[in-house]
Amino acid sequence: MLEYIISILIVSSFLMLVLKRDLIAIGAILVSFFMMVLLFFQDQITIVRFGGWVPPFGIVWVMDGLSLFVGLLITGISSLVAIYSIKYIKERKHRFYTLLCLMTAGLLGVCLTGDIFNMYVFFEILSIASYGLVSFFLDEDAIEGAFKYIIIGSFGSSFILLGIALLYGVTGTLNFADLALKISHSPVFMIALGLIIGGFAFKAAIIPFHAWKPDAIEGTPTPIGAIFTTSSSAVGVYGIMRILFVFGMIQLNFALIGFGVLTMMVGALLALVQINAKRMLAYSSISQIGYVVMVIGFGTTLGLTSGLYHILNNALIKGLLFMGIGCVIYLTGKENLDEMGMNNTPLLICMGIGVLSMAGIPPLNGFVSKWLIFMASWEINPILTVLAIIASAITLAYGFKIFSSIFLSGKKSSGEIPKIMLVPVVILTILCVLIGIFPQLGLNIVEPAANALLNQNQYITAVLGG
Amino acid sequence: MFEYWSLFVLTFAGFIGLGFLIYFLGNRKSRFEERKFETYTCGEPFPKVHVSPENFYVAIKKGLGIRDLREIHSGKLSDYLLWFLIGMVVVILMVLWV
Repeated sequence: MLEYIISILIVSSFLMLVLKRDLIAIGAILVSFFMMVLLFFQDQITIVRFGGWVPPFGIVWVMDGLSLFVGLLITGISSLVAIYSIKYIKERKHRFYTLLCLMTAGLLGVCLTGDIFNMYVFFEILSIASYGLVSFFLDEDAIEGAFKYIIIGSFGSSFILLGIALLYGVTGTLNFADLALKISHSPVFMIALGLIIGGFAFKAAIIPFHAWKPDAIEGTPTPIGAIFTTSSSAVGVYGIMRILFVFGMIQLNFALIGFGVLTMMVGALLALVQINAKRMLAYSSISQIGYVVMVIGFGTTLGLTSGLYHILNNALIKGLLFMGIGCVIYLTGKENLDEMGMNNTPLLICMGIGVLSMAGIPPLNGFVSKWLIFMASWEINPILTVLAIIASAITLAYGFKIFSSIFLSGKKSSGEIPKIMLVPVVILTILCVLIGIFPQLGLNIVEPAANALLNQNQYITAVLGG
Repeated sequence: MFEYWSLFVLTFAGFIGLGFLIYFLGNRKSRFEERKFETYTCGEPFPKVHVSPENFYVAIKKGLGIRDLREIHSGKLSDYLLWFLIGMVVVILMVLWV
C-alpha cells in the first residue's frame, strides 16, 4: 500500500491539469490520508524495495514510527486544507489543487524514503510546488514573498545537494541504513552532515534560517499558510532528527538547545509586534518550532516525546488558527489586525480555544505538550524551563491580541462564512479539546515515533536485513 | 498519568476556587454606604476612548529590545542571505567541533 500513496498524489496532480476537476485532487489527498491511517495499525516497519533491487543498491521506502507520525500529520492537514479550499479559492482552482497535490507528495516523499538522494528529489518537488503556491495570487506581496523564498530556498537546496554529493564521495552509498554503518569522523563527512542539517534548518525556519517564512506566508493563500506552519516545519524537523539519530550525531545537543532557545524567544517576541495576522502566526510557528528543537536537543526519551507531541499540537493549533483567520479574511478581505473585526459565534469559540491552547492553558492540547516540555527542560536545566515559561506568557499575550482585535473590536461583518470552511476549523477544535482531556490519544501516536528514533538498530536491520 | 491528572485537577480546582472567591467578595455586604461616583482622572472626566490592544505591550516592546529585532528584520533579501550563510557557517563549525 505504501508505494501507492505518493503515486496517487502525483498522478492526480497531472490529471488535474488535464481534466480540471477539483474532486480528483481532493479525493487523492483524502485517500492518501486513509491509507496512512490503515498503515498506522501495522506494528512492524514497512519496507518497499523498488524494482526488486536489494538495498543499498536500489531505492527503498521505509515507514517506521517516525515517518508514520509525520506522514499522518501531513496527509491529515492537507485533507482539511483541500476541503477548506473548495470555497476559499475562487479562481484557477485546478492549478491550486495541482500544486497542493504535488506539495503533499513532496512532503510525504521526504518522510518515506530511505535513500538520501531520493529525499533531495522529493525536497525539490516540495519546494517547487511551494514556490508556485506562494506566488499563487500574483499580487505584490505574493511575488515578493515567492521571490525571497525561491532565492533563499535555492541556497538551502544547493547546500543539501552539496552535502549529499560529499557523503556519496566519502562513503559510496546513499541509503540511510547503509550510511549509518559507514559513519566516519573525517572533516569532509562532518561538513557534509552540517550542510544537510543547515538545509533542513531552512525548511524548519530555525533562526537564523527563518527570514523567508513570514514573507512567504503573508503572500500565500491562507490555507497554504496552515501547511507551511505545520507539515512543512514538521518535515524540516524530521530531516534534522533523521540525520542526527541515524548518524548518531546527538552530541550536537548543545547546538540544538542554543538554536532552539534563540528561535523560541525571538520568534515569540517578533510575533508580539506584528500587525498582519498571517505574519504573526508565521512568527508564532517559528517560536513553537524553537521549543521542539530545544527539547530534541536534550536527547532524552521525555525530551523526544514532548518535542514530537508539540509538533502534533502545533499542527492542530496552527491549522485551526490559520483556517480561522482565513474565514475572517474571506469575509472582511483584510489581513491587518486592526481592520479585521467581525462577529461570528462559532468562529469566536473555535479561535478562542485555539488561542488558549496555543498559550498552553488547560484542559487543551497545548497544555499537555508544554507541560511535558517544562518537565523535560527541568531535568536538564531549570533556566531553560523559566525561558520556556516566559515564551509561553508572550504567546498568551499575542494570542489575546489576535482574539481581541478580531472579536472584541465591536465591528460587525456582513455575509456568512461558508459551512464547508467551518468544518475543518471545528474538527481541529474538537481534536484540540479531546487531546487535552485525553492526552493518551496523542501519546499513542507520538510514542512509537520517539521509540523509532531511539532504536536506530531496528531501522538498520529492517532495511538491510538481519 | 497520575501526575498529569493531579496537575489538571489542581489547576481546575484553582480556577474554580478563584472564581468563587471573586464572586463572594463581589457580593458581600459592605459596611459602608453604597454611592457611585463618576470616574475622574486628576479632577477631569475620564474620556471615552478605545484602547488599542497594541498599548498593552508597550512596556514589553521597549524593555526587551524588540525595536532592535524589528530593525534587523529589514526585509532586504541580501541581509537574509547573509544570515543564512552565517547560520550555515555556525552549524558547520559546531559539527566539526563535535
